[in-house]
Amino acid sequence: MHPFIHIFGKEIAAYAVMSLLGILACAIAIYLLNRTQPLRKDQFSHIAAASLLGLLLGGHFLYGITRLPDILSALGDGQLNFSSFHGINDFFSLYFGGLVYFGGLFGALAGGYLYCRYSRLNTRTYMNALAPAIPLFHAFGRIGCFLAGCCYGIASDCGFTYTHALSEAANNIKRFPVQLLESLLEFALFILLAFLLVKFRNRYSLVRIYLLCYSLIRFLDEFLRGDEIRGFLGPFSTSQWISLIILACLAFERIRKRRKLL
Amino acid sequence: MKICPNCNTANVDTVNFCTQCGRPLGDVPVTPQKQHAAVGNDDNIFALASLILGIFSIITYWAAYFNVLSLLAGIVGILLGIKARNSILPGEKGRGLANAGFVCSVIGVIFCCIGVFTCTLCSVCSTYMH
Repeated sequence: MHPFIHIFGKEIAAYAVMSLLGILACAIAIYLLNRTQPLRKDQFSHIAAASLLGLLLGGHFLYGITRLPDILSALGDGQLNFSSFHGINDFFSLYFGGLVYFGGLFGALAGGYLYCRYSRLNTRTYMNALAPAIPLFHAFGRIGCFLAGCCYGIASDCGFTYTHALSEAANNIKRFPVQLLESLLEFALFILLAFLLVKFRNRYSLVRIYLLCYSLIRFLDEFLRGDEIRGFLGPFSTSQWISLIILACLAFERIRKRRKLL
Repeated sequence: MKICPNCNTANVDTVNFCTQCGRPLGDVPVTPQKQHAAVGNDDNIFALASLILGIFSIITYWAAYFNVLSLLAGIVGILLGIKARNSILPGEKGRGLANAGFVCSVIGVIFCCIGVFTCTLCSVCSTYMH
């Protein structure tokens, strides 16, 4: 649609603009949701920074893993150049340049959790306080996806046609705006988590609720996705398999907890 | 320093209300800190380093050939900034420096991510890179 937004005569990627707006929205939301609580608010930005680092590590690392076949074949062909700094920079940009959402998500959760442990903060309290930011930021990111023309939907009669999408395969076909659908569902998930946080504070683990709802959302909307460039393992795409694994782990943990209490 | 019984934050001796939650601290005893000199606190060095690294990563994030270095500088700046902010309490010398270093490093890392990697949330877009 509009991969670039023109502000003051400069061209900025729409994705970047939406991500920054998302960060702003998250900061405002977290501030408002935790305004009345006796929490160490100076630690919020530290948890967020640790989550950011975890997101980078996890997302880029998982992407590198998906590119492992290419790395190994380039290694075999002798095409990798580690002698110069330029060569090292190019290696990382090419093979680790992308992000995988689930890698970033678990990296971020791990980063935040480890920081809470390191600073001896109550993990349930502080992770809950920041949990609503996850779907809120993702919702803004999905709008960025829609504007940029990636993560596009299947061809359908109701939808939009790209002409300058970031992924060329998306162009010139009328496509269902699955990114907007996912964005809407994520906004709804944000409202749910925000409500649970304000009403019940620490009774539920909001991170678990987020993982449960998001895995369901992701599994279902992958059927509406039109980009087949990503991996497919049998009947489901890799994201669907990961969603199923997450749901299975959550169910397993819940069953184990019930057994222990009995 | 005075530790607030409500939210467990460390405050300097001179405040009457907790800087995080606002609870009155009139009845809170002063706990002596492990090591502290008002001027020349060791952690001011971390705050300064964090600021330098943060500014470096903001200035050089666009450099096509070594922006991985900018990203690394920003990441180290964040870690040092967190360390400095945790040990320098609000109200002490160096707190402003630590805050500035932390913020600049975070901005630098975010700019590096958006600048280096075309698409920050999706693996499909990077297939477009080649």
